[in-house]
Amino acid sequence: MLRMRISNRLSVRKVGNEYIGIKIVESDNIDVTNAIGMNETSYLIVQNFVDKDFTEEDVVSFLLDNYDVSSDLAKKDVSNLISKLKSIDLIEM
Amino acid sequence: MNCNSGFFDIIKENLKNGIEVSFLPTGDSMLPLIRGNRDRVFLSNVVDEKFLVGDIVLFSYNDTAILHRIVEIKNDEEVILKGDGNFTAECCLASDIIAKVKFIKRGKYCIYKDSILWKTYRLVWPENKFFRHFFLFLYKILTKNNAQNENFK
Repeated sequence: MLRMRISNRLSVRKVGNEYIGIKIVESDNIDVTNAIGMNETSYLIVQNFVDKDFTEEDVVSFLLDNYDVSSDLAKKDVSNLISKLKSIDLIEM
Repeated sequence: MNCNSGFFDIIKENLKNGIEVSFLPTGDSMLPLIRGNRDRVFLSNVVDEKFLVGDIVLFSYNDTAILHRIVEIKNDEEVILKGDGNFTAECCLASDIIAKVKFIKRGKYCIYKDSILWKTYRLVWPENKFFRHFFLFLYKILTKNNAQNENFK
């Protein structure tokens, strides 16, 4: 199974009712080209898995253990989040 | 950029806290000064610095963020903007302006606001529709080969 890690260059901020993920270039420089909108579940996934090696299956299990969601929906959500993060180079393999 | 108010707040807050905010604009509306997806734009805070005619600003317009040049300010409130590579203008309120461009990074080089290059460009680039069409056409032909060569590298 493919292990991955969320880059520590991802900064997630809550603004109003929404979460926005932004790429930190340096400590005093952010890149907002590919800011991504996140829901609360995505935010909790990021909080729980940051600085850890994990597989997609680990994240799906986390969702199934903590939320009342179907396995198919959890797999779809996790896959979407990982694709979004990969597209802005915030997933390290 | 497809945006929302939260996104604008993050830009404003980071600039206010002295954090540098940059992005790669898409589209060709600010050609030839800003090349979409290639030149990186660095922003500065509009709270500390007043914006003036000629400044390039990021503003909120129909839930998107647009980067265009201010062509007129009416009564310190209504702002008319136009992309250097565009032929039509937009209108927004001063409060819709999120940030202004401090400098543009093109490859290894930076084009700073108020530099000689920036000022010369403003003086030379035509306002007149006919000449703008002509020079844009010329620019696109002249840069087409360069872009193709860059793609092959």
